[in-house]
Amino acid sequence: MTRFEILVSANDENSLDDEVSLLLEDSTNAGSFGEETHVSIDIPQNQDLTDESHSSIEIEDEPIEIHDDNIVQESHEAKEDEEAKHAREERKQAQLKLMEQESQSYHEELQLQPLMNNHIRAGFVFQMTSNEFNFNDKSEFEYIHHGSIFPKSMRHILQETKSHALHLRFQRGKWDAEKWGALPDNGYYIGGSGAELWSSVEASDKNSAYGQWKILANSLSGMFCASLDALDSTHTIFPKYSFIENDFANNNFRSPVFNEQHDLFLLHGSLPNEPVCTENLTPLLKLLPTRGKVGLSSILDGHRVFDNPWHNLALDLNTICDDITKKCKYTLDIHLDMVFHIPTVQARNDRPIPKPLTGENLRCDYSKPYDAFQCFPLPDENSITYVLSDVFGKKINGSPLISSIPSKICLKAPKETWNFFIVVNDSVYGTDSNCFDLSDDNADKDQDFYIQSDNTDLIATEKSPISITRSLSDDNNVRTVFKNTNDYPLEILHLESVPWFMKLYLSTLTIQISNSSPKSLRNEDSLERTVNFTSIYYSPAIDRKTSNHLEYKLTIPQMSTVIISYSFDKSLLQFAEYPPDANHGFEIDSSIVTILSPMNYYVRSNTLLLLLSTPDFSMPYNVIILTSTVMCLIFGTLYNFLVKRMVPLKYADIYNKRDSPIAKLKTCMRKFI
Amino acid sequence: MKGSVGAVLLAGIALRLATTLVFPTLQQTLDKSVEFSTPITSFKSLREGIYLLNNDLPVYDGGVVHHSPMLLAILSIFNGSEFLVSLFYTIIDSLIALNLIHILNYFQNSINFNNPTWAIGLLYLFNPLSLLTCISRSSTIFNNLFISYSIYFALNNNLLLASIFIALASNISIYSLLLILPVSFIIPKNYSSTYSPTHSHSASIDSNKKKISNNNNANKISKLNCSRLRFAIFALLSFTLLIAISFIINNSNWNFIYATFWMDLSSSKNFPNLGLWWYFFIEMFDSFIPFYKTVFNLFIVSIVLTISIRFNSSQPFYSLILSIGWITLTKPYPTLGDISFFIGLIPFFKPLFGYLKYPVISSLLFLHAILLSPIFYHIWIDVGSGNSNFFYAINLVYALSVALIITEFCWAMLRCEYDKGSPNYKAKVAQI
Repeated sequence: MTRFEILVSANDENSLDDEVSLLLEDSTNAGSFGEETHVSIDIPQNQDLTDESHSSIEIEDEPIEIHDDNIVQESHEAKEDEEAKHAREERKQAQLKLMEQESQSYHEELQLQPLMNNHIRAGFVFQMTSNEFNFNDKSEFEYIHHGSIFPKSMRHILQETKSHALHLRFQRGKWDAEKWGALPDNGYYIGGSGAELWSSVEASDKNSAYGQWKILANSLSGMFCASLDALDSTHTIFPKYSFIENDFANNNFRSPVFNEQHDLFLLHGSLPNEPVCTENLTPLLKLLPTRGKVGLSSILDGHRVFDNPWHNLALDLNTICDDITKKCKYTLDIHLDMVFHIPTVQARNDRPIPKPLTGENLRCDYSKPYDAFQCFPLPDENSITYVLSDVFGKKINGSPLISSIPSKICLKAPKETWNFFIVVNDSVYGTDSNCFDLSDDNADKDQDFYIQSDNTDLIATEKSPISITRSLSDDNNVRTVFKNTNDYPLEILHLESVPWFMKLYLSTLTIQISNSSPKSLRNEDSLERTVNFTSIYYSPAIDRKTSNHLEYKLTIPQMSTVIISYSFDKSLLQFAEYPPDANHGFEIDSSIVTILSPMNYYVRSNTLLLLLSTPDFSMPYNVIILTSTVMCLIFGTLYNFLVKRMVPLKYADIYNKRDSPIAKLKTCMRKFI
Repeated sequence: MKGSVGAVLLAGIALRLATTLVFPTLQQTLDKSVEFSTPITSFKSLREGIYLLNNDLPVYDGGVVHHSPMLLAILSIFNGSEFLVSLFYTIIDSLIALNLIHILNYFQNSINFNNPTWAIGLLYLFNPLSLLTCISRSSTIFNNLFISYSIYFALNNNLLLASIFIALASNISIYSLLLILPVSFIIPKNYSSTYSPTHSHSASIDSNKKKISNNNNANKISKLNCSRLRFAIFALLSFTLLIAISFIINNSNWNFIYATFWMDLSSSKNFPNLGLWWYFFIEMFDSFIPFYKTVFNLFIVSIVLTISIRFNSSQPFYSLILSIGWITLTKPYPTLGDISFFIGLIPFFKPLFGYLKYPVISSLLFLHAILLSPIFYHIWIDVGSGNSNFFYAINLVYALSVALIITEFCWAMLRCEYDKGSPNYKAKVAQI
């Protein structure tokens, strides 16, 4: 019963989506290793007390005192049970006590999910909650206690820019949806290629919202060593439907405005060209109370996190408010997702300096021609065995003492073919749910995780609900292909932000539908009805000021492909507006697809590479000189024609001599004399 | 006579409609080519404007539509019917030809045009440049139509209509506003007077009148100035009125001024075209751009003013044609549609052909430029084997060739003026 309550409270507080709460449910059944019984007693009671403090908020101080007593009692019990652990427990309880007072919390989790072709996805989740503050009380809002968990820098940024929610994504690589299936967590935490930032800002009008957004982007730019300061008005849009509609459903947009005259504005910007690397990871780890030294974050090493086919860093800050008690708190979720190709990782471990395999190590297909010079390689092996430290190059260092819930590691794979064990000092343990709680008792011990499978093709991945491909054609067309392979229709929302130097012609927008089901749709009327192209929002770009912003809703019928295309014109830029690598082309933001029904799912399209023709960069002076020469030539000729006198050629010299200034001077002199 | 004019016009209409039917994709191809289409005249952006208008989306907020609101309102009547639109453009082109014939009829006695007057319409209608302009559905054609009407009405002393049409032309392309001055000079002084482009009727009439009464002279001149001034005031008033109407059509929003007139004057769209501006301002350093834009605009104004004033009394009609040519040469977004109208006006120079120094060189230079420019554009943009300098170089050649044509005619006008009506092609004349 108590465990059930934890789930509910976790759901309310952190607005976790279904998948994460499912994981929590798993963990309640999980037989955690080590001090399993003790820890599992601790958590629910502490959590229960937190719940109480939520409900009885009028007398704030008293319940906390009661908690303290309870905790002390708990720790006494622990002392009786395990005397050797006494000192450690004391320390932990002291931390927890502090957190109780400030109602802060910290939780971390790692989900491992084997994917097709010997890939594995590692998904780290770090969740932090700040202490509560009263949003109506200005003084309390301004003054917030020093947090031990919630990073002070983040709090500062939120308050300076009056932003209520802030979502930052760094992503690189291609998620192979056909093989790897659906994105983790419904794709909510997965951004488009490059860097992406969206935030809801409280402001009096659009302009001041943009001003605060600019401050926000600049601060984050410094904080995360990213070029977010380049998010100027040409990269920023105010989404009309995307993010808002679903975030309302997710309660992310629920926070009230602190000033009655203000309104919440949602701004979104992305930098598709942004490289993502260790300098972006380090600041993220610095935000954690563990600073990447202990717990799950201790295995994160920049060399490994970014040396893989796909990785995504997500940071989500939300303000969660309770309308009844008028209390608010901040939540900070950091999601790190990455996909490793295990054979590549193992090969890198075996041969740090890349060199070809020796003949005897080659895996050859002997059914095909084979000799000393020929070898047809076999596909990757179906069975695989490795430990987690092979993948990350490090071992997990203990567990964060600061957290009331133990860190958790889970493997999401069918139990029949996948084995997942914890190895502590050469002894191996397993659980039914494939989930382990990290105990800080093992901090000094050598612990590692062992993953083994005999049939790696059998995996627990869900099919991606939609496939989206966006491309540019030679005749200046943008083509977006939505493919629905489900047997139910999908209602989607599509947001495209196209830079101003692509002049869109919305009048050329065409919708095509190809239906793979037997009942194919032929006539135009039914196409209109099936596709249900509605809620079109279009704000055309202003040169050098804003980008084209196009949003629309669309229904994609079951088992069919919808193609939307429109044409555009390329504009030329001014000489100094081209980047140094102008001939590389310009990356166009990935478009954002939100599935509204029957499920919630978020996916970004690929980015586009637009080649703009360039002027000759070495020519500015030549052009100025040549054009001016031509103009002077024309002007000079015409001007001479228009102002000069016509005289017969044979008298020209005489007239010229007579009328020259010197001649005039001479006559003048003569007259004078 | 009437029958042959009709036949010429019908032939022109048939040719245009047939070309559209035989090559249905030619319109899109031409609309993409930089020679016939610029961001401010292209049919694609006009259609986009109509689409935005019909769907209640903001038309002028973005950077795509630069057409006048009235043009959008008129063309939205056709409701996207391709045939009606091409018929409309064809009729407009034939009206230009008809106006040219009418203007030539007016000058029939003074210009010794050996061929029948409908030949000028034929020359215009069968000029490949005007044919392609008509098919590309460039909005330049409206500008040309309104200017031709304005000339026609000005010659016929219909001040009101002439001023309305010059205002309409300015509404399409703001630089036509400069033509108010040269057009005001072609307004005849007297209803009964015949008009010769080569030598001023005012001189002959005045000499006639001198014999009758010297006292009336001052009176005449003041009357003449009065009608010019009236025309200029009418033109400016109707231009203001048209802006007011556009304002009402555009849901009482002024943003069209920025998107149409200011865009043209400031040339802030960097788009390759035949003009002298675009590459200059791509390569220009930021801080100098406003200065040079002012200089380039002054460059246009300066010669229009000086030519009109210089030939004010002797050859005002020719100075008007030269002004049209000059604007074509120097405006920020010229197309071959502008030059095709100028070429259509060249037969009026018939009496001066004998004075031309290098007609072969200038026409060949012009042909060379317009043939090479699509090729150089193609190797820059599509193939990538040449860079922008190729296209820029051909721009310069084109500018020089048009300038050569203008200076040739300017010289011819000066020579004609010097000869005082009795051509003496052999006389050697110099300027000091």
